[in-house]
Amino acid sequence: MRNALSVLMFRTLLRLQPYVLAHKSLLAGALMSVLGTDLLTYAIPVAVAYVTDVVYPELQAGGSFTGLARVFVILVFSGILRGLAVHSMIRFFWGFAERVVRDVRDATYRKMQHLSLAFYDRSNTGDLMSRVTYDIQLVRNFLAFGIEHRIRIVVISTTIFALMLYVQWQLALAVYTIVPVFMTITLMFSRRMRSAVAEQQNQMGRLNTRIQENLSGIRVVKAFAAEDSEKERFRQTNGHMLDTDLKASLLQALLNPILMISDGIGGIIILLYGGLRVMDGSMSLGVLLGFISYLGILRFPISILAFNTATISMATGASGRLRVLLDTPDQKEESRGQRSSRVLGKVEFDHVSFQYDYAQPVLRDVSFTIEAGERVALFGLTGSGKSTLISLIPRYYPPSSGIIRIDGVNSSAWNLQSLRSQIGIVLQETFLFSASIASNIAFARPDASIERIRAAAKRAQIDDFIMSLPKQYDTLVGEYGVGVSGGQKQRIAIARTLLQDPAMLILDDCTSSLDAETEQQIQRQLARLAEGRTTIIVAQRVSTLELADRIVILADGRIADIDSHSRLYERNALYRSAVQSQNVLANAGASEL
Amino acid sequence: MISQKTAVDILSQSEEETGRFQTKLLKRFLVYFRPYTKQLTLMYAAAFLNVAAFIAIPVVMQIGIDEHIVQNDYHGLLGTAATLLLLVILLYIAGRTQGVLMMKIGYRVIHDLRADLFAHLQTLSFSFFDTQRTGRIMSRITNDVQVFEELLRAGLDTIVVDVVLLASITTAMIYLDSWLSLVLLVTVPGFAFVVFVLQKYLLRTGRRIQRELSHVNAFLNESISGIRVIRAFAREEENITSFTSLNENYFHEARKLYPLLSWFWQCVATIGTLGPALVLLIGGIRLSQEMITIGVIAAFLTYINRFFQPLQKISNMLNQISRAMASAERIFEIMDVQPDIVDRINCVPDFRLSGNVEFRNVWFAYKTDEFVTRDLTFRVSEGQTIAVVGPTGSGKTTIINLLCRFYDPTEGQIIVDGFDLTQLVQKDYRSQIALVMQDPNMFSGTIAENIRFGRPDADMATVRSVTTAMGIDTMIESLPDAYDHDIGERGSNISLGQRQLLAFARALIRDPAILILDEASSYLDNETEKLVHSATQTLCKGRTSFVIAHRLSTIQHADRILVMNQGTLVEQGKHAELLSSGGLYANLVMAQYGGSDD
Repeated sequence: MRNALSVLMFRTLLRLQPYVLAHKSLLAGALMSVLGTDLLTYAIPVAVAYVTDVVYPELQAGGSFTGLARVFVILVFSGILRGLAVHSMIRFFWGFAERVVRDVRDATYRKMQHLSLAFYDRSNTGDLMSRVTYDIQLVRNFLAFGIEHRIRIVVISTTIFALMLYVQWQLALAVYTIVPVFMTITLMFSRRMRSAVAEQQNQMGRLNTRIQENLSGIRVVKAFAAEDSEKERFRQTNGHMLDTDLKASLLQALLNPILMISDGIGGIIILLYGGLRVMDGSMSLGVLLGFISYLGILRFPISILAFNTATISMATGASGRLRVLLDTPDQKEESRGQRSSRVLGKVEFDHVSFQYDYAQPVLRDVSFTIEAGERVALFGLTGSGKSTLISLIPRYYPPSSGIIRIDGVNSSAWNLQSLRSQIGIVLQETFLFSASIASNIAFARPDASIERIRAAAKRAQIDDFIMSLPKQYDTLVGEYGVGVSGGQKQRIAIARTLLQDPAMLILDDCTSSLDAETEQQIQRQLARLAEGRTTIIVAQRVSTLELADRIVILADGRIADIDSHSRLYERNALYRSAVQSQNVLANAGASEL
Repeated sequence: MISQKTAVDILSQSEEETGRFQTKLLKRFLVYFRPYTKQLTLMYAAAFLNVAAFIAIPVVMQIGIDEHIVQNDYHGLLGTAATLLLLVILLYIAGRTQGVLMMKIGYRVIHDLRADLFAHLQTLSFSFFDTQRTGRIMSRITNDVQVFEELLRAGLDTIVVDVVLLASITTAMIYLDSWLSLVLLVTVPGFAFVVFVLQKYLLRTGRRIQRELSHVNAFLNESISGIRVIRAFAREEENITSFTSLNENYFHEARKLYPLLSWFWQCVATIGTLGPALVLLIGGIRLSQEMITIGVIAAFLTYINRFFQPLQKISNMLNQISRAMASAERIFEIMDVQPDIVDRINCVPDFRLSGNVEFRNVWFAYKTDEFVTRDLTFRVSEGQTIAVVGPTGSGKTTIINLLCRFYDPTEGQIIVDGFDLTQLVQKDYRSQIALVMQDPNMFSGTIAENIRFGRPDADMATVRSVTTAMGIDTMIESLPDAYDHDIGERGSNISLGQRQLLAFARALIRDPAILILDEASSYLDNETEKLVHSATQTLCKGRTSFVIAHRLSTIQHADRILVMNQGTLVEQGKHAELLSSGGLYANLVMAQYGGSDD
């Protein structure tokens, strides 16, 4: 059992190998200090035995105090030395741990910045967050004190045994019978505790979700007068929480008293068997007292074992997950294109098919060409593949088959950074970072002057709103900042793209959350921006469709038709009816009356 | 008691880490222990028994050594061993009882506190939730309650029992030999310094590190949530640079912590050796004077380092208490917020709603003097369908809020079936109306559970009859597990259109006398649009319906249209009438639909 855990320890270290090796001298220093720390502990039991058997009898026989004084001075010195050893042990271990963890955190972040979007589609934010926060913390605990405790458990329990055997082997064997018993009990408990704690954490997650849902749906709860049934539902979840809390903590409460009596039991053995040996003269009293003192030292490995087992096994899991993350291929490895010239704006789809790695094909054999400077609208029902199609152009995903050419060059041959920074894209759901409004708008051009930022904001119809805020462009937005509405967020995002001044513009149905008046104003601005650049718009509304040179109708991942609005309206019955029946109602919608 | 308005200011104060000790708060918290007085008493009894056994063991050992081993009395030694065994068993039983009770009481108290907080939140009015971010309330009910859990882990019994323990060890030592117990003068102040001074620094540094780490994590969180934007602007390398420097800041703080930690344990190690060394030295002198026996020295060796742990626990506890004070303050702050809208004492009993609604000169302002509806007057009879239209900010949503009595009018009256709305019991009234909101807030659970949210006692047949009436039965049957399909957190496993239809079903199953529908403005796919359209008809039939309409078909079907502008009702009438009257409505409709609706 103990061996298996040491294996886990080495496996964890191995997974972090490059980061561990970079700071191996610190680890070596730490290991040396461990020996100093633990071996110097024995000064006391050795002194106790010696003083009892040699110094005290001399004193009682009227001898001088020099022997006693010498022992005292040696002990004081060993105390100071041991303090220094402990100090350097902790400094080395923690210095080692914090450095390794800093490097791992940097590497993980670097990796995450370059992981493909397909990877992000598969994972959820909470999960990734816990990978980098919780898992790294677990690794730090392992490096900072997990290794220390493990080694000291092994060192102390073996060296004490050796020392005891050396001094008095029969008594040593008698006392040592308790060690495996207590360690086995502890390990049994710790295994059950781990699953209980995991269950406790799951339940905590469920409880928090329950509260979160209730609070964000509180208006529905009130409207439906559902307060009582909500309380009842919460009562159940809360009750389960209590059950799992108790399960986990009672195990701990049961284990603690068992560990507490370990030296009591040991003491009884020493007193009974050792006492007998002292009486028949085959052992000295000093040895007996020394053994009691050893017992005090043995408390540490026994009491720390459960905690240490948990630390190591959690870190093994965590390091495994981190390793998987770090080994995932990213966009840097997948695409090594070097072309970084200016984008002119011709886009060709050449028999492009695409599927996300778990699902049905989303695009099937799509071929069409957008000339530089052309304005093209993508039209189609939800799920027809519009958003996927546009996300292939900046190569967020490589096509499953076929080729996409930008200015006649395969998009895989382009340098991603260069290509993407020349394509302006406004997404349907936008995201603002926790920073000032100004730096959010200047996201693509961090060095832009405030005048240019304001100009972009004016064109996106958001300047007035920003100026009405107390701190104006310095107002903090995002998760920790002031709340802005969906429409305001969208306009800030549009300003961000306007300031970027890209060679090619992709708009993913980004104005539909605005009211009609604002939308029209912004569309006028976007139309001006689109002047002379290739523009691809995902659109539902007639007003937008009319602006496009050509409309690409997507149905079920295939191109159903391509033509101008007027001609499609004339000859494509489906398009006509779609435009007439829903779009007029929903999009020119009465919401903006 | 604090009213909701002032509570807003208080809750928005910065979240302090530690709080001052306040007897008032402590008393309120202690109320939660009252139901467990018996167990608490038993726990303390067990704890003191535990202390007694703990103290007695070294003394018994001393007797065993001095009176039996040294005197060669093996029978006596057997007696000592038996006593020891009894003490060990006592230690075990008492320790176990104490630990188990402590956890049981503690977690029950936390459970009760959480339940109270949740129940209280359910009673609060809209104005509270308008001004409080969900995240902030969440942190009250999760993090602040968590602090109490940590308090519990630090030991409910700590201060009292540990002080008794320390006093008992001291007494035992003085009883054994008062001269030898002078060694305490070195070790106790030493440990106390470590625990009360160094540990305080340690905690303070630890909090600073925590702050740096939270910066790192916040940045990370955003980098994950905003990855698409980052990709779009090719900002990866800049982000990596920023992250590295945040991470370096954290490391910089961390490097201040562990040297302190090293000093802490260095002192503990040195004092831990110094204590026994002194015992051996002074013990030797006393022994040579034949004032004590060797067993006394052995007992002292056992006692001398037992001061550290209780002292450390006390110090931990003091820190925990000050954190818990801050948390208690925040928790009770919420508990003290009173709802704005409370039922009157003499409400109409057993009210049955038929659905006549009248607004009489209704003025309303969310913030003082900023009126969002002005002098609103209209009357709706039972069974009519009313479409409410108007630009954003014209007061449409406010009409809904007032109609549901989420707020009371600032001036004027809302009359329902001849009664002022404030004369009705909120629960009575709301259980006879139904609201469908634009953003259909769903709860995790199955389809059936979500529909039953509207009427928890409905059986499966009723659920089915509702979905059949709406024409969504087949859609539900086509999902995996059909009615038992798990819709995920907030309904994330089903589409927006499906969520809206479920919200309709949830309302229809109540068979409300008044239906209030805030039609979704977003366009769904063809199929779902058709379903939504016919479901809307079904939903409005046979009851008073208010629809904030976004679809022309809905508006055309309405018995009357209320046209709102800047908080006032500017026109009302049927679609055709309004069109021909050539007012605001006609202008807007012509402008919007005139061109393409040919």
